[in-house]
Amino acid sequence: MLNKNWFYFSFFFLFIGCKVDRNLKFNDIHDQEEKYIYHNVNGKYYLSSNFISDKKKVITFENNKPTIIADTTIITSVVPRDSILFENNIVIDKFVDNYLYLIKREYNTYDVGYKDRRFWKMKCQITKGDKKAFNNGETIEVKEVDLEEHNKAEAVLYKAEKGYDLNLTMSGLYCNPNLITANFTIKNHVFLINKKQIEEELSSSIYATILMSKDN
Amino acid sequence: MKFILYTFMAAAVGRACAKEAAMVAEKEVAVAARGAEGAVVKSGTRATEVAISRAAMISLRNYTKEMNKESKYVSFDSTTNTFTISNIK
Repeated sequence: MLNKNWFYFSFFFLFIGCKVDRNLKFNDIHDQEEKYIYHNVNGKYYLSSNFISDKKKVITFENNKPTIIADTTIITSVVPRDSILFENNIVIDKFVDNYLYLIKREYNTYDVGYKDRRFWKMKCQITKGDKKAFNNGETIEVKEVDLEEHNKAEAVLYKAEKGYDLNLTMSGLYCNPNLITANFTIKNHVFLINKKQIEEELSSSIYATILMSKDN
Repeated sequence: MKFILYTFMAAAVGRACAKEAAMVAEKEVAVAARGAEGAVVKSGTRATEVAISRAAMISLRNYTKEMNKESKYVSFDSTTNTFTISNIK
């Protein structure tokens, strides 16, 4: 009888020994500076070059202990492949008073297996120059306004893509996109536009908290 | 005497098991870091290691169905695995 009890007791030890916290929480923080140049071909401005600086920091919270596991700046300057080049473009929609409406189309494919397609109509305030100056061949400066809806949509897109990405690359842990909190903030979105080209500059940040768990 | 022996044996097995689990967790943190950085490299070896959990995929599928409720501008086409953000019809 004594031996049987100790047999169970041994299993209790075994159980305690194997129990580890399999949840994983981490913060994903980005500060991005982006610059794109588009050239006018028959009234449509096609992407010809880009420059992206991504300052990122990843902090894990294993056993509630914050640990910085990535604190880097990655700079990329890649001309998109021909096959998707023409799907990245900007069209001037219309001038209305002191505002300019732009339609931006963006398309990217990623190694992890998903594609990212963006169609966005932006209301921009003319901050330097006017329609007359543009028609005379001068460069005007415009700035995107009404950023709230843009930020919200970007945050939802981030959660969906990050959930997809992590569930493909992680083994044994699940990422429920509903458990991701993400704040996307466009700080500045400026376009320098003339009849030959558009220079787009964008600075933005993402602050996300991601929780992965053993159980879904 | 026997139960002391059993106790030590169980503790030793438990510790070994915990250590192995901790190593798995550590590896997953490293993978998470890579995933978070978006620097995901697919290789034959990695492919065998990667287990796509059915539950996680169902969770994602449900989320993508719900996306339009959260933001009317984001959608997902599962036939082409394409996420779309749009405010143009």
